[in-house]
Amino acid sequence: MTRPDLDLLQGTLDVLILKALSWGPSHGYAVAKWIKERTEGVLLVEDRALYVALHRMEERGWISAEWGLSENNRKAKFYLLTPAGRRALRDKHAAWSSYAAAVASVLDPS
Amino acid sequence: MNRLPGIRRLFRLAIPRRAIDRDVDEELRFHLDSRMQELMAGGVPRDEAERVARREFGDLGLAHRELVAIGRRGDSRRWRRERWRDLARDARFALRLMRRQPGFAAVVLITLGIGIGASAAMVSVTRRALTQSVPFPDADRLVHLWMTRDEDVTSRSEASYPDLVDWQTQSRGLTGIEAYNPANLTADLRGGPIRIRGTVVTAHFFQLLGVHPALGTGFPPDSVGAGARAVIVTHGFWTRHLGSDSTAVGGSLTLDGAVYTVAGVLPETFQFAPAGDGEVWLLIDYAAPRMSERFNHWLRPVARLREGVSREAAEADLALVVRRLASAYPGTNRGRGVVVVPLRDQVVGQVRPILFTLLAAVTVMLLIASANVASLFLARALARRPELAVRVALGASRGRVAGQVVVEGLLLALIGGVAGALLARLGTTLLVRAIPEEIRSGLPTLASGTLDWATVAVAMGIALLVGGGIGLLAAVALPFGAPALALRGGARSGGDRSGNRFRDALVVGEIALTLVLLVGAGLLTRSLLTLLHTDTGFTAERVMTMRIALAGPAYQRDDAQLRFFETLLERVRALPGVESVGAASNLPLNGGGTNTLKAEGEPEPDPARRPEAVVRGVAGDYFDAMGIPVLEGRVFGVAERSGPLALVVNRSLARQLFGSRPAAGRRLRFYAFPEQAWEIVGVVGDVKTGNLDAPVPATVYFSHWQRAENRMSLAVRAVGRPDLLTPTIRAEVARLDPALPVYAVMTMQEQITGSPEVFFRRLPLVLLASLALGALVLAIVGVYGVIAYALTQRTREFGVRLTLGASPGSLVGLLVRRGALLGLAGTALGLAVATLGAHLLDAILYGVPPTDPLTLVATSTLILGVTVTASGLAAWRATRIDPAGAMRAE
Repeated sequence: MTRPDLDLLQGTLDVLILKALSWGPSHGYAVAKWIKERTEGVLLVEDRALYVALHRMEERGWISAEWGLSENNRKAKFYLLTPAGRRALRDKHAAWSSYAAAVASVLDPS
Repeated sequence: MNRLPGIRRLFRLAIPRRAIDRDVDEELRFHLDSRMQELMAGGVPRDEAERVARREFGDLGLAHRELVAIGRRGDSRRWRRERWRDLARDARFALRLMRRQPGFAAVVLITLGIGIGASAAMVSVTRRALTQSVPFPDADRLVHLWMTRDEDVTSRSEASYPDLVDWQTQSRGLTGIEAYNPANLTADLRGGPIRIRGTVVTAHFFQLLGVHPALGTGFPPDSVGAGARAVIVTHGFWTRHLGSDSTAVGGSLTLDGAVYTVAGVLPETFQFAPAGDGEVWLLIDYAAPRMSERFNHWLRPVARLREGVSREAAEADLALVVRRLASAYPGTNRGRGVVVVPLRDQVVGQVRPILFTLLAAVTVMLLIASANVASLFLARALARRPELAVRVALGASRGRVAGQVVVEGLLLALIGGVAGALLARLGTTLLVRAIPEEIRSGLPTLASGTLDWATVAVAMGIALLVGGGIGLLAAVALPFGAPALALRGGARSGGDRSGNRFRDALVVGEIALTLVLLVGAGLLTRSLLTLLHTDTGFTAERVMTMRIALAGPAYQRDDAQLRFFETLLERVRALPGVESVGAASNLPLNGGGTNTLKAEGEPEPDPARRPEAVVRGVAGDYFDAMGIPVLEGRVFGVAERSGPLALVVNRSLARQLFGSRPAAGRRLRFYAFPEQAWEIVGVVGDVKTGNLDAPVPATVYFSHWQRAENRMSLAVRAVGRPDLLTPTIRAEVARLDPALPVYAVMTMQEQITGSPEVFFRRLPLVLLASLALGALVLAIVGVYGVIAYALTQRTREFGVRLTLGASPGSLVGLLVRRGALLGLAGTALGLAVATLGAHLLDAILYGVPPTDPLTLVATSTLILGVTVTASGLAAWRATRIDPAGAMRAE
C-alpha cells in the first residue's frame, strides 16, 4: 500500500473503526481483525495507521479508552464509542453512502 | 497508581510522561503478541510469525513515536483546559464572596480605584509631558541655544542677529541656526482689533523644525535679507479669525498697523512650546536696524545638531566660536559664553522636578492603598482559615487553595483597575484644568490631557501587579501548618502569629509612607507661605493693573505715544475711587530687558563685569500707586518734561555702584547709547522685578517724557475694591481710542498668586496635601483594623482577665500600647525615608531646608496622635466585653 492511498483512506479508516466499535468495546487487535475480515482483504489497512487513527479519535473525544482483560486473560487497551463518537459515525455513514452512491451512479449508469 | 493508569486517565488527570510511553508499549506489544499467537495457532513457526506480524504492522518505531506525541499533546491540552477551568471557578467563587461581603468589596474597590487612578493619571500626564512636548521629526537633535555671562554661567540671555550669522557660518557641530522672539501684537480683524500673541522668526525656522504648513507654501524661499512682510498663522487662528477660508492664504493681515501677506497655515497639531502659544508667526524684518546691531541681544536661537555630533561636542565647538567673536568685538561680546540645551529639556525642564515629585507621591499613595487592601485581605483570609483547612483536608492541594486566594486578589484589583482608569480620566482633566492658562500655554501637550489607551494600559498593569502582589502575600501568609488545629477552631487562640506579624508590618509601612507624604506637604506649605510673604517691595493691596499697547500708524511718533498715556493717566486720576495712578513699561514680577551701564567718575569696569540693570519706563505717579518707597532724592515729576535727562535707580543698583555713598546727583551712561549722560535724581526701594523666588535685580527707571513707551501697564491704586474700577478705566481708554485693546486685566494680588513661581508650588502642594490626607485616612483605617482585630482575637482572654478582676481600662491600655508601638515604629521609619527622599523636593522648596525640623516634628506628632487615637477608639470596645459571654463564646 502506497502513501497516497493512505491519505485517501484517512476519513475512511475513521468510519470503519467507529463502525467496528459500534458493536461494543474492543481492543485494537480485534478492530484490525474485524476490518480485515469484513473487507475480505480488499482494503489493506496498515496496523500502524489504525492505531494512529484510534489515538487521534480518542483525543478528539469520539472514543474513550480503558484497560481491561482480553479473551486470553491478558491486559489490553479497550476502546469504546462515546456519544460524540456515535454521532460522528452516523454523520460519516450518511456522507459515505451518498458519496458512494454518487460515484456508483456515474460509473454504472443503469 | 502504576497498575491503574487508566483510572487516572479516566479522571482526566495529568499522566507523567513515562506512563504514556509505557501505555503505548504495552498496547503495541499486545497487538503483536495476539497476531503472532494467531499465526502460530495456524502452524506458522514462531520466528516466521513474528516477522509477519511486524511486517503487517508497519514501522513500529514510527508508530510508537506518533502515538506518544498524540498522547502528550492531549495531556497538555487537558492540563491547560483544567487550569482555565480552575481560574473560572475561582473567579466565580471570588465574585460570590464579594457579593456576600459588599462592604469589604466596596472598601477595597474604592481604595484601589483611587490609588490606581491617581497613579495612572500621573503616569499619563508625565509621559505626555516628557515625550510629546517636542513633536518634531528627529527632535532629539533639536537644541536651544542661550548666551551666558562669564560671571554668572547660570544666566540665560538672548543673542544678537550678527552673532547668529557668525555662529551659523563658523560652527561645525550645528546645522542651521534659526531664531525666534515672542511678541505681542494688535491684529486688525473684521470684528475689531484684538491683542494676540505672536512670534517673530527667521526665514527657515519651520524648515529647521521639520514642519510644513498645512496650507500655503510658507515664507518665500529668498526671504533672507529681503524686506518682505509675511506671516504664517496657526490652525487655531485660521479657524477663529479667518473663517477657515483657504483663500485667506495669499491674502493680507494687518498687524500692529502694517500689512502682512498670509504665507501659510500651520498644521493643527503644531506647537512650539518655548515660544508659548503664539498665534501668528511673523517673518523677521531683515531690513530693521536691530538686525545689524551686535549689542542688541533679542533673539532666541534654535538649532539642529549635526548627524553624529553630541550636544557636548557642539557646545564646545560653539564656545570656541563665541570666544573668537569676543576677541573680535570686545565692546559687545566680551565676557559672554554659550550653552546648548536639548530642546526637550528647555520645554519640560521647569516642570520635570514637579512631575517626578508627584509621581513619587502617587506611588507612595498607591503603596499605602495596596498595604491597606492587603491588610484587609489578610484579615479576611485568616478568618476563613477553618474553611480553607476543610478544603485542604478534603484533598484540595495547597497550591489550589492558595491559587484561589491569588485569583481573588487579582479579580478585585482588576475591577479596581477599571474604576482606576475611569478616575484617571477625571483626574487628568482636573489636573490639567488646575494649571493656569499662561503656564499651560508653555506646555501645550499638557493641555490636551485626555484619557488614552496608554493610561488604561498603565492602570490595568498597575492593577495586575498590585492584585497579584496582594494575593500572593495573603497566600504566603496563610498558615497552612496545622489543618487539624484550624479545624478544631484552635486557630483563634494563637495559631495566627505569622498573619499578625504581616499585618503589623503593613500598618507600620503605611504609617511610614503617610508620614513621608505629610512631610512633603508640610515642606511645600512652608515654602508657599514663605513665598507669599516674601517682601515684594511694593504694596499689592488695592492695586488694579491692565495693559495697553499702542500700535498702528497713529502712534508711530514718540509724542503721540506720550500724549496718549499722559491724557489717559490724567483722566483716570480724575475718576472717583482712584487714589493714585501710574504706568510702567513692565509691572513688577514681569521681567524685562536689561542694559549694561557705567557710572561716571568711577573706574571703567572690566568689559566682562559691566554692571547690568533691568530697565523700566514709568509714567504718572507710578511709585506712589505701587507703594514703592522713595529712599533718597525724588522721583520723576514736572521737571522731566523739559529738564535734563534723569533716572531713578533702585537700592540694589545704588549699593552696587556707590556703596554707602549718596547716589543722587551722580550720572550714568549706557553702552547701548553712550553719547547720553543720565543723572540720578532719586533712589527707590527694591522691588521683585523678575521672579518672586529670585533676588531683586539692579533696576533703572526712565521717565516716559524722556524715553517714550508704546506699551505700558496701568497701575491704579483704588480707595476701595480695585476690580470695581475696571469698567470705568476701560471706558476712558475707549473714549481716547476705541480701536485699542485693553488686556492682562488683573489686580496686583492676582499677579502674585498667578505667578508661575507660586503656581509651581501651589499645584504640587494641593495635590500632595490631598494625597497625604487620603493616606492619613487610610492609615487610620489600617491602625483601627489591626487593633480591632487584636481585640476580637483576644476577647476570650480578656473575658478571663475581667473575671479575675482586671479593670477594663487596663485592657484598653494594653491595646493602645500596641497601637502606639506600631505608630512609633512607623514614624521612625517614615522619618528616615523622608530625610533620605527630601532632596526630591529641592527644586521647588523655597526658604525651607528639606529637613526642616518644625515640619518633621509637627508631622510626626500629628501621625503619632492619630495612631494612638485610632487605637484608643478601636480598643474602647474592650470595656464593653461581657466576661461571661466572652468565655462561653468559644
